[in-house]
Amino acid sequence: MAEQLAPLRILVVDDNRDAADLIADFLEIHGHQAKPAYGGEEAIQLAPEFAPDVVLLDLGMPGMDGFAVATEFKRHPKLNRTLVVALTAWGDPATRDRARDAGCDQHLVKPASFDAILNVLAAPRL
Amino acid sequence: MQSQLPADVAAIQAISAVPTILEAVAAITGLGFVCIARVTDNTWTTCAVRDRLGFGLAPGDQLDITTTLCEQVRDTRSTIVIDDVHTDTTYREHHTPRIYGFRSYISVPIVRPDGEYFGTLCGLDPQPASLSNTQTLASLTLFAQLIALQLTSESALAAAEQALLSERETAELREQFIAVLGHDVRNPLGAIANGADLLLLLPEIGARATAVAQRIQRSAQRITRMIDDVLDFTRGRMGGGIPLTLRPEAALDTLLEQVVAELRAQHPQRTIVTDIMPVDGLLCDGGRIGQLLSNLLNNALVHGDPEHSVTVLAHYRARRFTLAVSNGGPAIPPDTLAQLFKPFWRATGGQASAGLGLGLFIVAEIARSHGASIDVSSVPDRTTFVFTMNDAGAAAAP
Repeated sequence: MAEQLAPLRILVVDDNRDAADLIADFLEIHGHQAKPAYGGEEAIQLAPEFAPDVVLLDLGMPGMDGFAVATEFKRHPKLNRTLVVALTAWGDPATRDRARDAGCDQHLVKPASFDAILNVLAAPRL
Repeated sequence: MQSQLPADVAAIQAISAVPTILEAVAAITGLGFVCIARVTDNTWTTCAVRDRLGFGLAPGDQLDITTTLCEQVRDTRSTIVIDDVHTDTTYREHHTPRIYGFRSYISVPIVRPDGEYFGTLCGLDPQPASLSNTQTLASLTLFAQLIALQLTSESALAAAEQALLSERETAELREQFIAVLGHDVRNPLGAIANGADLLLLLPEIGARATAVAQRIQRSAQRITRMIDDVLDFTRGRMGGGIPLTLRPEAALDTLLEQVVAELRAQHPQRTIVTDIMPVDGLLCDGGRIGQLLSNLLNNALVHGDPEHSVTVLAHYRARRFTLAVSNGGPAIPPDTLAQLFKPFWRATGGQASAGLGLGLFIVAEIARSHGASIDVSSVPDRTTFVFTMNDAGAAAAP
């Protein structure tokens, strides 16, 4: 288990509500401030006010997908320093490249363990 | 039947020897018009033609069958030969020579080996010709048989090609379906695994609930492993091999030790003996080499005799990296050894939890992608798998 981190504001974006809620609960237990968003549009709506340090982002979502969300984060003056972590079932090299091009800084493949998530949060920031 | 005619014309056109055969028939008989016709109960269709008379028929063109003699050839399945209409007692008054203006004529039936009538090899000319001699008749009969044989072998080949294509398409669809299914299962599986992890973090959870959450965790890990294997399998099959990210791997030995530790945790009752040398800077895909060791080790733990220890050896000497995993147990028969690396292969009477039978196939695929070898040997009491990478570029191995 990664060592205790300073509290972060983390937006968890996943159209699978159970997945988003579980990860948000886990992060709260670890002392972070986490907010679930159940789709791309909702994430973009919540983000400017919530001002997350990190966004855990599912890529395959109906409507606005994770690639579009990542691009929007990098374009937005208030959100472009947010660490964008893809958290997706797709782990193939082509999707990793596409996610990086869209603006994802890190890539986790589902099912990702909590340790893996904590390790990404502990990684040095840009 | 009518819709089959273009295919029949195309079948004759596809036989490369047909133009030569028509030339040969023209040369042997001296007839100005020679053709192959498809003849059914009510149609006469040109399939291939050699026309020096300006008769005007091209492949696909039809004649009214009642105006031809081929209807009779079809009914009797025997050759009609006329050297000169003017002296021929049977056909002198017949309407066909009058309609088409010929004096010499021949029509040889083309009958497939299975007895089905196809049509005729026929020819005509406005001048008399010496056709009713043994040599000419034997030659034309032989050509007709040759055409019939070619037709049959071409259609058998086309059917086999079509069946193969259809089977390939089905296999590709099946593998795409597996890939999509495997991917989609990962989403809810992630929630199940994270849910079990979260339960174990809750302070109020009791001993029984802890045991249940741990069982959920273990099952989720098994499903994860199966999905990873299936996705690797389909990726390997559809993309021509498992893709690698090659880079000098810092401290590969640490990574291998981690894999061993994970398997030790999953099999606490088993003894795993290791002899892992420091390896630093080996040019490889570290994650894949870890997966290879994990699969080999898992295989040894599941299929090896639990009374014997499992050993893991990793050496780097003289630019050769060797990773070996061995387990105790009876020798594997040679014919079984040859099957071990095939996909979905499972030992007869193997444990239900042994997985999909993809573990060793993926080991072989990872070795292949690295340009390395994987070998297995089995003697009484010991079975050993050896992964060998020659010319491995370890920068700083001792």
